[in-house]
Amino acid sequence: MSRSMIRRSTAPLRMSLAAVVAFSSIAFAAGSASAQEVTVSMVGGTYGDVVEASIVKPLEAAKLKVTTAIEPHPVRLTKLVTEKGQPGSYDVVQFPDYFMYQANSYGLLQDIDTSRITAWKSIESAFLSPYDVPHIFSAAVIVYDPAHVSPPPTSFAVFWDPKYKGRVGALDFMFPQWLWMASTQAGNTTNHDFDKGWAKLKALKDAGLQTFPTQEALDSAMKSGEVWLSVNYRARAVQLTKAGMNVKTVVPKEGAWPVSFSFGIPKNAQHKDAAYTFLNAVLTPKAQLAAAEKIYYAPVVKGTKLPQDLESRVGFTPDEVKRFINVDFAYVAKNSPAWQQRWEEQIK
Amino acid sequence: MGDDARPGRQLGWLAAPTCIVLLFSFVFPLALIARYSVNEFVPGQLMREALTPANYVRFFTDALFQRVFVTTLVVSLASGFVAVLVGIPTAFALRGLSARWRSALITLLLFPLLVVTVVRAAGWVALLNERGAVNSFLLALHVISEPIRFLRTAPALIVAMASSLLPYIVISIDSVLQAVPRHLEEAAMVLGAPPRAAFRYVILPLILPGIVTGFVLSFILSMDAYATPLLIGGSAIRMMSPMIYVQVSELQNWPFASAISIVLIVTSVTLSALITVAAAQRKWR
Repeated sequence: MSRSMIRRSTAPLRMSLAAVVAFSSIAFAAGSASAQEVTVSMVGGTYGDVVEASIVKPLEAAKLKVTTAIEPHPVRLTKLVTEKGQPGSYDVVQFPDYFMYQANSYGLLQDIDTSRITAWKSIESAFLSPYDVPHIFSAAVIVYDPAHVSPPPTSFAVFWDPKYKGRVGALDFMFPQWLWMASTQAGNTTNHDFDKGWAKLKALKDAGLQTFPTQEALDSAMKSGEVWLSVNYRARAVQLTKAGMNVKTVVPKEGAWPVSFSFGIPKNAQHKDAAYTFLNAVLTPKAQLAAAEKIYYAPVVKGTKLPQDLESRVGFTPDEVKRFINVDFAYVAKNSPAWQQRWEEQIK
Repeated sequence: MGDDARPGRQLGWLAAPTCIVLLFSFVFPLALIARYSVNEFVPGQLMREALTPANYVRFFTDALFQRVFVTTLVVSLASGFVAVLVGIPTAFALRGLSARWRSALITLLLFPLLVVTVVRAAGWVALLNERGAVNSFLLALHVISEPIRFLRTAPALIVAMASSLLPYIVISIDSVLQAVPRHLEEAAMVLGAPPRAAFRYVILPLILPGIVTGFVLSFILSMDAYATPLLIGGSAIRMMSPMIYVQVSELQNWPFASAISIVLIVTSVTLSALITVAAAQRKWR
């Protein structure tokens, strides 16, 4: 079948979709009389609360009208894709690093004019990117139950220790992290060649690795004592200790897989000046401190002063940051479909 | 006959709002999904326009997806079946009550539907985990010496799903059962039929439409279920809805996710239609 036929066959669908998008854009434009306003799409929950209190409120006090659209990451990404080339609904979008990479690779984000970001030079260099401004970070580290795991682990090798057979739990969506980690046990020291880890992962599965589809399911298994050891974000582990669970974290000698949450500007944003005002607010000490205090993610702005006990629980030492793997998102995106299927077939 | 049809024709426009809403909220999006399902997925890009059956071929030839498909069917049919088995006696119990008690109990029966699915599933997790209420009870009675793993097993998932389907089944059977006069059973028994035969040959055929409606509704709800399979079945029992979510959210593979969605919808509609037609023709006899 020829390409023109394909075009013809989908033309009515695309036209109706375009009409819906155009209509909603007109409706949106009609409602936006004031120039000083910004629409931000982000996730809700405790993260959304922190952004509302530490970024949105101060901006509103400074007479910037901020509208927040709360929705899950895939929904936001889908909307950005469907609005591509049309006037956009959002001026600022929030994503975790991997989603942000994908949004950029689909041509949805504009590069950041770093001269307009006052604190740009103070951002931890590990989290600088041309298409977004980071907000907070953490890293996937070893999380363990000290009541059962002793001495404290220092290497990912602990997962293969026969003492902990059947007590290791993995989150399904962290399959790239687990594959990387297993590859380090097969001698990989690069940020590629994760496939070296499959044999090690398979051995772990045969030794009773349990897998969980959601954070809540893994939390519940750690709480009930079914799981003693896992890989999870340090921020999540601190949340669990706050909820009364006895868990500890360690960055092993092989390193850790960082995660950051950031804000970017879609190419089709309607209020780009206000978007820059918002991005600058993300890096203020108030915003950085609030995230550490409320959701236990570490600040990305160097020199942010945290209370001592908070720093020791949520932060990472310079030496630990140095050991973070420099994730090559292009490599991960290209290989993830195959890895995910293999994870489904052999590891789950 | 022409006179009979006219009032219906005159009032046909009353359905227009529903039709328009359905057209925009269901038919158009579904057509778009069907179109996406024959596109090509290129990792790192969103999708490439094409007309390929590759996504469907992959779903039906890959052992992993075949397994997910069969699991979804088996769990959905089993959940509906368990709900029917429990629902029939419940509907009969309601029938024997006074109107006041009946409406009070039906309200109670509907109460679980007010609780969000995720919360209900979380309740099952709290009951069934290794330190949950069921294990603690069995351990305290020395029935077991080690906690039993209920979670992430098919029976636990089927029981949890059936429990959430029960209100639909009971209400659909109850609505039919209310119209069945009691003297029919009495007449059958007076004529010498034992209670079991009276139920089998007199009552069951009369309430069958209610059972079938309830079962089909349960089956469709189970096929689409997302939160309960995820929280109770976990990674071990995999169904199609969570699989679609993974393809969309983790892999950005819209074409394949669309193909799974179309398979899910077509399977639900076809099987529901077959069950309904078979029941109408009483092929089960």
